[in-house]
Amino acid sequence: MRAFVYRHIGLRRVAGVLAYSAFAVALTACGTDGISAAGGSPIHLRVVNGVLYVHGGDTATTPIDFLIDSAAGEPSILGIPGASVSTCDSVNGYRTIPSGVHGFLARAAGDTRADNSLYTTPYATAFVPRQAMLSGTYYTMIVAGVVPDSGDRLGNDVMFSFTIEDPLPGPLIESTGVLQSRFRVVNAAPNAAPGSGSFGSVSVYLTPGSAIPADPRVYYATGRAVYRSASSYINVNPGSYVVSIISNGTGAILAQQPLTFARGEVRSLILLSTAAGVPGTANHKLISVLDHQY
Amino acid sequence: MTHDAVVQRDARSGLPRPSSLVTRRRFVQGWLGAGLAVLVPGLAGGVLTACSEAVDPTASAVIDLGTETGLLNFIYAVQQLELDYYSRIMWTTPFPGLLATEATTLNNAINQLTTSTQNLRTAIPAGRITDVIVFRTGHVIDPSDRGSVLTNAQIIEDAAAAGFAAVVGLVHTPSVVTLASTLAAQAAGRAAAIRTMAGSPAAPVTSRPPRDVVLTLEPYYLTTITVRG
Repeated sequence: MRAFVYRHIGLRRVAGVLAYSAFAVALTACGTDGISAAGGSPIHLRVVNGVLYVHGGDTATTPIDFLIDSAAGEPSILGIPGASVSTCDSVNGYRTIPSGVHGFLARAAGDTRADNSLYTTPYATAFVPRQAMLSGTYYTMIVAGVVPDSGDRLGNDVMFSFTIEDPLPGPLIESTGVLQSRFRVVNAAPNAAPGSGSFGSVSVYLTPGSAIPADPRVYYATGRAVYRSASSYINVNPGSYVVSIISNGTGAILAQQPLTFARGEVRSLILLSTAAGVPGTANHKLISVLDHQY
Repeated sequence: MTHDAVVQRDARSGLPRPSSLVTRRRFVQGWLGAGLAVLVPGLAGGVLTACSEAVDPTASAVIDLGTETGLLNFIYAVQQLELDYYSRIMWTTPFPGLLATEATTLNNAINQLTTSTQNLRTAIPAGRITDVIVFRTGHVIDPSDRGSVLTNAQIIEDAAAAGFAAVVGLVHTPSVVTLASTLAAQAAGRAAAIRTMAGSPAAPVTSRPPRDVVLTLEPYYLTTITVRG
């Protein structure tokens, strides 16, 4: 019978395997930037352009470029029209990129100077925020604020901010068998509160049917969205509703829009300012985008 | 030297190294022994854990309606249902079209029920049923439908008001009579408010035996409530 000696052969082999494994793990853990953890499902992101540029005495929307990892082409999202949401190639308009750490830069469309970034420090110098993006997650990057088209831009003019979409379907109402729809309101409207660019919040009112209520404030507010953030998800039965958005600062109606929610839909309603001036329906709009369909 | 072993010899001295003499049999025996040493206690622990007497405190509750404590437990169980019902309506997504004034009514009901359930915990120091009774309102009602929410709220409040009114006539200790009367009056007020919201005609409170009330409300409970006495 052949002898089985493991001390010199087995242990050395095990040690070798362990060493190679450790090396492989170390290689896997380090992405090109040394800290990103590549692998897993990709991430999906869309960009909301809520930027108002001040030029002389005029304030207006403007197209922006949103650079991902400083790429001049894809996966960067270029030429996003003013007061709009990016539409990319993947499902429901998201841009799909690998998970891991990414750097982001937003600036006026066509501008090639790195120091013209909309993201700035409190000392008015440009910076490139970096963020670890979790695999399989859906992001909405909110680029919103009022900025001068030249001169110093302070750090809170356009803060780096994003929200994460909830991947879950709405509740199933067992008594009726209805899979509910759900939506949330993303507040990317710098002019929603007095003094453009302040941290104003809005309330969300939901009324059944398609008739526009004269004063939605007689109803109970079903949600609240802070500036550059999103409300919690609101669950509704499939059907037609009027969504009214009210400024909590002034009580002004910013948007009133009849919407139809289909079974199993998850939507983001994005509030945007289209111009400066007294906040109202004339200088705001509400865009409904489909996040997921179950 | 055994017949199935190979002697490892030191390269310089040429002497055998006894520690390197490991047969295949010994190797397998060693690993099996080590594996069993880990597995057996683990399996034993798992079996012991699986057989432990874990009791879900929300699974059941027994109410003895032949005692004052049992009658207060009856009120406590119903008030937990009311509190849970309104909390779920208001703290998730209230149904579309809920007026701000109606929301105030429902929030007042939540505040009132929060206070009275806390008072009942104090009033029933011993023999109190579980503080966590679970419900299946989501299975029974459609929380996004005004008609469904208010119809079921009216069923619950009418039953509560009628049952609490009966309890007032069944208790004798003065402090318990006072407490039950107060809670019955509050329940009647909530029932009237819900009827107003639902557009139902006003109706006087007629007392009903607590046992009947538990039967009426049974579809809302996940906790199995057994009534005695």
